[in-house]
Amino acid sequence: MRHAVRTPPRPRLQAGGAALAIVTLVALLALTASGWWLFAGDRGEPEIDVAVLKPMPAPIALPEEELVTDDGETFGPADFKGKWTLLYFGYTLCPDICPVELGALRRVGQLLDEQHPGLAERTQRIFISVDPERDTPKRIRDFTGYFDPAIVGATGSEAALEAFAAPLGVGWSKRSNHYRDDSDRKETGDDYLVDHTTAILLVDPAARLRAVFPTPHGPQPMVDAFHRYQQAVEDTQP
Amino acid sequence: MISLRRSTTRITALVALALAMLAPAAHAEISVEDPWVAEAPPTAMALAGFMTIENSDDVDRKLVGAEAPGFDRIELHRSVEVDGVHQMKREDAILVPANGSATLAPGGYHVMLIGLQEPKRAGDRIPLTLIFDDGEEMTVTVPVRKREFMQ
Repeated sequence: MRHAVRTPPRPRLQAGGAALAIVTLVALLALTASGWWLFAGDRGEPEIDVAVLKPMPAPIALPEEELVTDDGETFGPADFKGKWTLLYFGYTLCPDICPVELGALRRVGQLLDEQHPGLAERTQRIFISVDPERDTPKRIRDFTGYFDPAIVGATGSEAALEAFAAPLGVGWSKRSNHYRDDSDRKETGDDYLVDHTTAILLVDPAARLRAVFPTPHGPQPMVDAFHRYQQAVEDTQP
Repeated sequence: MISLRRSTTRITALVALALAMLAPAAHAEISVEDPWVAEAPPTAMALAGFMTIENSDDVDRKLVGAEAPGFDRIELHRSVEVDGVHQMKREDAILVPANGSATLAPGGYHVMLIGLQEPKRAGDRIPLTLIFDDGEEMTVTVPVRKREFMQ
């Protein structure tokens, strides 16, 4: 805005300061409305609705744990390098919420393709199962494939999963007696639910947790916030 | 007198007819709107069913259970989020308040159809019997639908 103020006054605008102030104000409002100035500032602090995307106080490097993809390949922080990642933890037998979240990830991918194809190419979506006891890589692939084959599935040993997720603030716990009653214990001995963190994590191309998307996961607000945040971060920290 | 007796008979018949017509209305106090079961990935072992249950009666009613062929059992559940953690709670009953309604929708109350014996696809129909606290049972034909974001 100072730039506009410093523009040499044109002789005919003798009405002077007031007119210039109005022009400046209009320009300010226009730029504000466009959202452009939000990430053009020198503070590197994007103004983003934290109800949609909440930045971490400081980036957290993904722990060096070895996980496994749904193709059976080893998988770890190196696989996050060079791409933005939307990361969700859940399990395939999750009957109500996980399908909604995977559906949101599916739609986010579609919207990114349509609206920000450049960013879409540099973005991956990963689903990590926290239920390795039941979720084989094939089960995970069948699950993610139903929603969007481009979503990468992964899991790991219980110890590796916990060591990977805990520093990121992601947790879960099994509730083994929920579905079960004694009469069908044998039949449904593995029939348990997993309470788990609902947030979708945003990991930067340096494999660091940068922000989280709390629920509810509205795909369009997520895409808007992600695009704005990514631009702000890469503008100030190339 | 004969004509009077005849008309009495006629009135009796009319009253009986009227009562017969009223009888189904007595069961219409509970109605189910837009029931559907969400299509799930092929890995699914349980399906979630949703609907709005309306109660035009002056007394509260409760949905206390449900049955459907092709599933091991059906439970009433509620998804809740506590401090950023998603949980699913089993409920003994879902209240359908007097002159009100109960909403079963994704992320909240739902009927959980557990242990499906064969995969269900969008377009399939499931006869779902809802059981209420007064013993009334109501069978509704529930279509399997893709969730909105899968359409």
